[in-house]
Amino acid sequence: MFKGMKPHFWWGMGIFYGYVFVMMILEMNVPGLTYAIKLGGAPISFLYAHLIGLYLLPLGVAYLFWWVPEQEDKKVKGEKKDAAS
Amino acid sequence: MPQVNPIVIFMTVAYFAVIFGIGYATRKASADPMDYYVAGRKIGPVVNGAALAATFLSPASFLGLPAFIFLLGYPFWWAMVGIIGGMPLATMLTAAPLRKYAPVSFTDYYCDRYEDQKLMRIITGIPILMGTWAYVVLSLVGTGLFMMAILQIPYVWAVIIGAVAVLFYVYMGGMVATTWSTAFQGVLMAVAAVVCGIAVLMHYGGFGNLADAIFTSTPNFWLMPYVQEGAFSHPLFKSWTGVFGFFFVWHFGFATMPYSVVRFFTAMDVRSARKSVIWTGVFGGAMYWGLIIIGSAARHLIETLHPLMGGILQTADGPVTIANVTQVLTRIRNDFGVGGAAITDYSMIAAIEALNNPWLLGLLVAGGLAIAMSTAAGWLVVGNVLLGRDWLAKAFGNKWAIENPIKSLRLMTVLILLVGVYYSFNPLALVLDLSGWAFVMTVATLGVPLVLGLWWPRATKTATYATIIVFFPLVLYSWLAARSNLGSPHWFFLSELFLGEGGRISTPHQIYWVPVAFIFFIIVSLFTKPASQETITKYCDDLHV
Repeated sequence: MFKGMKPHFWWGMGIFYGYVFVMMILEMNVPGLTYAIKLGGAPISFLYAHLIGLYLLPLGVAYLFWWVPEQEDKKVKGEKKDAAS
Repeated sequence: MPQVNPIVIFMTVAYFAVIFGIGYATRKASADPMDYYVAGRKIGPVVNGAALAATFLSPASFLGLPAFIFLLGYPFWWAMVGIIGGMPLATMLTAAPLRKYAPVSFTDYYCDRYEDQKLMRIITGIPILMGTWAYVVLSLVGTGLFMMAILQIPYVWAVIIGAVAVLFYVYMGGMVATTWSTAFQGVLMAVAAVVCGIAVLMHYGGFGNLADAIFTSTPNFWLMPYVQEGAFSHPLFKSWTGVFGFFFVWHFGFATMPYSVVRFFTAMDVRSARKSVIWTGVFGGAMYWGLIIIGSAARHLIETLHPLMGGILQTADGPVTIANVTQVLTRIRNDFGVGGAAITDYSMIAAIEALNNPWLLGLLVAGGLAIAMSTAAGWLVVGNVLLGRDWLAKAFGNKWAIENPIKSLRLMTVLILLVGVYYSFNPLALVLDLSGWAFVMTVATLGVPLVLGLWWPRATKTATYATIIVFFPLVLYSWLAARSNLGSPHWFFLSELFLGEGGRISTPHQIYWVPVAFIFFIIVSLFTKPASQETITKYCDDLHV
């Protein structure tokens, strides 16, 4: 099952799920983490959930899933060029 | 409620002018069935990404998610993280393989991979048809609520006007019209949500003050389960199952729901399909960023600023002075004849109405109309291809449908819309509840055979049939049983059997059926005959890119 799935898929999903579940578990164990702990006057949840979890992290993973195959394609094309020349 | 405002009307007219213009400009696409089905596979990543965001994210997002934050509190933020976080999952799991395979309709893959061209189309079509029903209804409810806010007309007429507009551009150009007009709608909805979110932030003077205002009006808003003895933001978030459950309800949908998957077929190539997902995240993530702010602030905004606060509400016991958000929404429901559960979904619009800025309200309703109409159009294309092409022409061999493919699709579009309009007059549930049920049902019945068909050579036809036949009624029954017996579809439907009377376990939308269906599919596959080696090579191994 999932034979042929590239390793960066598991890395990407591991980073995403790891981050989300660690933050959720912390929130359930650290009283006030969602509201009382502040950074620059704003609850820190606006940073780790609202900005990073919601926006930056999924975008980063989507970029990774596009970028790695692009690099592999370039490498294959380069090797073919070298072999042809 | 505010009076009809010329600025709001102007922005709405401008919005309709653009989408009708796109429909008119792309009308020639309907001459060629291939263009009608999959936009000739000419769509680039930015346009496809914006269209994906607008199609996948529906009024369930634009109205429903802020309404749920308003009702349930901070822990629901993680459900939104789950939705956007599910997008990259699709890149490698389904988008790239399905674009390489390049089918015409959603059921094609099941028929080819599981070697059954007729019965498979009919059986896989049943959950798709139910999903189409749920989403066309919730999209029309959303369209109706926004039209109502703009024109101050009764809800029923607002729904009808919205349905006619959707019909026009789907009828004109199929997937081409919907891809281009939807891309415009994707940009518009993201801009609307972000601008409104920033306006709310500016109103409060920043994140800190916003958080304090929310805390003042709803002290339990910020509570996660277990952090304060005996207190929670909502009973559904009394335990971790509620937080994790909501996270997963919509998480796998982008990779497996028909209306998003078919947009991978329209991409130019596999690279473009991968890149489309990044752009979907750019537009969709931005929209969600704004929605979280609006949904979190909604109660405080409405209760401090809405023009109906302090007004009169007629009740069975006589007139009362409106003093809270529930009474504001009840007054709006009474004034405009809003049916069923739809009024809670109006909280998002009411929050922006409270800011008393017509430009902002105009932008919000244009964005809201965009998202509602794009999703309706996306599902109409899924539904009309299913009924007109897959069922009538392919499964039943109907001569008229085979000889008149475009006419057949158009006829089905009209039929689906008529049914949708009828049910949206009096919706059975909140838009987000309709969406959640459709997601869990579709992912459990169709998502599992799709993903495992692509990534597991051992996946079998029998397991696909068994999974659909077993889990379609199970999801429907458990959802309805929880809703009618326990008061909400988010409680485990057998809670009282395990915990006694009054006992409740939070399992949003009966989400546990998805992993159960996954295990069930694997077990049945292991005991039944797999497809031929040639088929497995062609529709499983060779698609791994």
